[in-house]
Amino acid sequence: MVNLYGKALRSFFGIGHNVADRICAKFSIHKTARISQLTQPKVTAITSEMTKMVIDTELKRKIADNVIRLKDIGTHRGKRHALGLPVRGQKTKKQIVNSRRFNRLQTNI
Amino acid sequence: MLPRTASVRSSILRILPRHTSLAPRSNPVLLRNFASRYTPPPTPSKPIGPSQDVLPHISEEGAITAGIMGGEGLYPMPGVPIGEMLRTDPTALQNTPKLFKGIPGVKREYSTTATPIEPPLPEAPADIASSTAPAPAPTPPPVSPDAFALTIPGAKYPLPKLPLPSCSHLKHRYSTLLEQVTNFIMIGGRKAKAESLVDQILANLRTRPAPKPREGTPLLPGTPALSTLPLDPIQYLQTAIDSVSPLVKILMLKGGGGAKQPVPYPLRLRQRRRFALTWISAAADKKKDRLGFAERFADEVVAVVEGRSSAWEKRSQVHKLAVVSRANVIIDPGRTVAPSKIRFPIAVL
Amino acid sequence: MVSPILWRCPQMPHIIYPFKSGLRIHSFTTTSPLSAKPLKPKGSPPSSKMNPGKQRMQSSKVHVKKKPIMVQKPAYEVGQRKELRKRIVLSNTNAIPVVLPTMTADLIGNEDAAGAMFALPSREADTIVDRLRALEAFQTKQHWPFFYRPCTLFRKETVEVGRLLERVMRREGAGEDGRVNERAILHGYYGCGRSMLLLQAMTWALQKEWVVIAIPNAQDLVIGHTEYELEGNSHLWLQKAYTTDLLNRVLEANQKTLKGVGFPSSCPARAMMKISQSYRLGRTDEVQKGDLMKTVLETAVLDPLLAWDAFNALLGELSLPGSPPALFALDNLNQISIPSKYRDPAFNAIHSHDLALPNTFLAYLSGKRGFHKGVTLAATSSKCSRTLALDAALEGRGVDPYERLDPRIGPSIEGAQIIHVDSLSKEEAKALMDYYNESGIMKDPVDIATFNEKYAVSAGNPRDLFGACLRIRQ
Repeated sequence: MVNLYGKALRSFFGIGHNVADRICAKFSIHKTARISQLTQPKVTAITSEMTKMVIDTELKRKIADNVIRLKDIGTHRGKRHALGLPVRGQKTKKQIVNSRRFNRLQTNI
Repeated sequence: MLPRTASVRSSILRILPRHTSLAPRSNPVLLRNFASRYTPPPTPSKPIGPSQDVLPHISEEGAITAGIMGGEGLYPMPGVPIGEMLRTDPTALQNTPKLFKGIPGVKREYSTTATPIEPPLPEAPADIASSTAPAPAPTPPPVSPDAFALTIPGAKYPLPKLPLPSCSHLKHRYSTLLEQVTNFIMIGGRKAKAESLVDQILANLRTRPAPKPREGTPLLPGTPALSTLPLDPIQYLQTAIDSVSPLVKILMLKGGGGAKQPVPYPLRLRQRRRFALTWISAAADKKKDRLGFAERFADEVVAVVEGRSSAWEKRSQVHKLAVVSRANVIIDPGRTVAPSKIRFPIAVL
Repeated sequence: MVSPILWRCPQMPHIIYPFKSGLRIHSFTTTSPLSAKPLKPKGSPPSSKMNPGKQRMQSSKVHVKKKPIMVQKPAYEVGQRKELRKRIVLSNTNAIPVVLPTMTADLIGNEDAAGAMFALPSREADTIVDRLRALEAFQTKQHWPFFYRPCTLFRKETVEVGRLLERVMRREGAGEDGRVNERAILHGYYGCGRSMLLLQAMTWALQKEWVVIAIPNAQDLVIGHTEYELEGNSHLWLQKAYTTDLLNRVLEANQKTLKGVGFPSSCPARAMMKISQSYRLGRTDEVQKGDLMKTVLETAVLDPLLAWDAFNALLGELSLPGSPPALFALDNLNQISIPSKYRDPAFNAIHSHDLALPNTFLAYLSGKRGFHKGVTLAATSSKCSRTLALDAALEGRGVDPYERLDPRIGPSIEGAQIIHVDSLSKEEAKALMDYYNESGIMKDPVDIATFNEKYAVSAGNPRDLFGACLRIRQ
């Protein structure tokens, strides 16, 4: 009883409302469809579609690689990432909790 | 020990009136009637109803009568207004009643007779009426207030017929109880939501089977028969709330010797109903079924009328405590403590 | 048990103080106040001897708020909420039964009956109400649970709807091939009773043993909650699951007609129940000539893949000579005049007219297709906003070049008669209010003052009139 659009597709990192909408549209699946209601060919088609997409671990690694690239070529953005500070010119007196959490060179994949 | 009270001299109060309006109070322009001398109201388009036959002017009538009788009329010229006659004929002025002397003007330019808002309904064709209702109810008599008696000379419209109909005021079109229940249910100022919930409660009560009378349920004296209650859900609700509402609340006041004492304190009707509502909704919220608020609440109202609600226990608790501590009742009205003045925590029951 | 002295208190308007201050007389007890047993306050700990002042300050400051008791409640089962939402109660045993004449088929197009209340036929042998319920003709917000039995008001618009049926029955204006088709749209302000008029039309059609096909809420077709699938040949999007439901309803409501009960054996309508030509059902199945229509529908109901073809077979048979008359009704026409929530593979919104069921209905409404004898009836709704193209088409406005209107909407309802559903006339409102009074909704008798007041407050709108009669205190 898992809703395909609401629960199943969007549980992947990299698939939000928009992408899930487009996947559903591509295979003519209505929004309230349950996974149990899908026919086998459709499930196969969705699976093969998703193997082509960059999602989940692959996407996370790609993002991490980009950050490391910035650091390697010595950009300001790369430095800020390495220091765990805001990247886009924000003030650092207060409210940089999120940058401390997320701005790293190595992401936990 | 009763709290001390500060006495305020009345002279101070006189110096500083609480409500001072900046504008002068009796501004004649503001107080003027809506009626303007220069703009008489338009003649009503449907002036005559069947029960109201507008008579001709008195002089015209006299002339007609004279014509029938074959003699000379009371007035030489038909259709002369009284004001005009008084001006022309000096002898007439002496014999006129005092009322006419006071009004030098002429007759009013507009009619002061009240006109019905609508002509009465055309009756439905007889065959349909007989087919719809085999025993047709007697048609109510048409409303014909003695409008002329209510008219004030000089006023534009007659006085309204008293008492005013209950729906005449926009803000009081629901009963007092319903308004209180609505406001009790309301959360965060969402009145429309609360009103629709009250509607749902009443609809729920209307469609439920009638409550079964149970021995020993102390409903309010004068309650109509329980079988008739579903047809009148407001009465249903009122029966439940007024029956279960407590008469007193218990204040914990510091008595002599520093110890707190329970003091029974009488409640007004609105306060009593509020206690009842609190208990009923608390009992309703404890229901284990998956129901909407309106259904839960209506269930509990039925339970109150049938005498199996936990609200009854709460009520009897309060009353027992009140009876036990009756010696602490503050009798002296001069030294009654207003609830707003009490500075110690109150055990609200 | 409460002592009887307390019971007198609610009846007493004022508390009377018979004695002036200074003169203290305790009428009920002679014990001094101090000798009364002081009760222990609940919960609060006894103040400590060390610092009583601090204790008191704390107790006055700290405001203990009780948390509301959270009761664990069972979760809803699947579909339970929808069932609760759609549950329709048609009778209230508490209400006073009102004796009213039955809404029989003799009243079709009867002008004299306008302005009177009629009860829907619900005798034991009659299953009209059940069949209407199967067609989902009753709606949840139509105040059915307040009355003893379902009754409706015969309005002047009802006469007009009746005329449509009457013309078809009398075969007025039949073409050369003998086909009669009446097409109409019920249009008006909110709460003016369009759905109720559809219900009345269905009541008559069922009584006359017509085949009634009804789409109770067109919104279900376009909000993207049912399966959809592209059909290659017609480039239309089929909704097979919904079509199965529709066939189910049709089958349940028209059992009698499909069996051919009620027709004399010489009547050609009886022959119609047997299929006159072969149709394809799905990919493999085929309907042979001479099969019973009922059997075909029963098969299709079990298998969604066959539903659309079976539905087409039904419509095809109804367009042949000798078939019984048909009523095709749809409520909330506005909903199929806006883009649907469905998307095609290229992620473009699918136009509602590209969905097969709305497309078929609109083909009947605009006269592109037709029954042999039949009425196509649609009702607009006020729930759906921004249907500018439909509004323009209904008003018959010319095309404004600066207005970007959907060009497909206008032709889709072209040629349909537009029945303007107005507010109630005074006679109708009086009949309705008398009915409310007799059913126990209104307590006071309907005199002129009450009538004028309620009629003015509601402006003759039936929905508002009910609210004014029910809620506002009398």
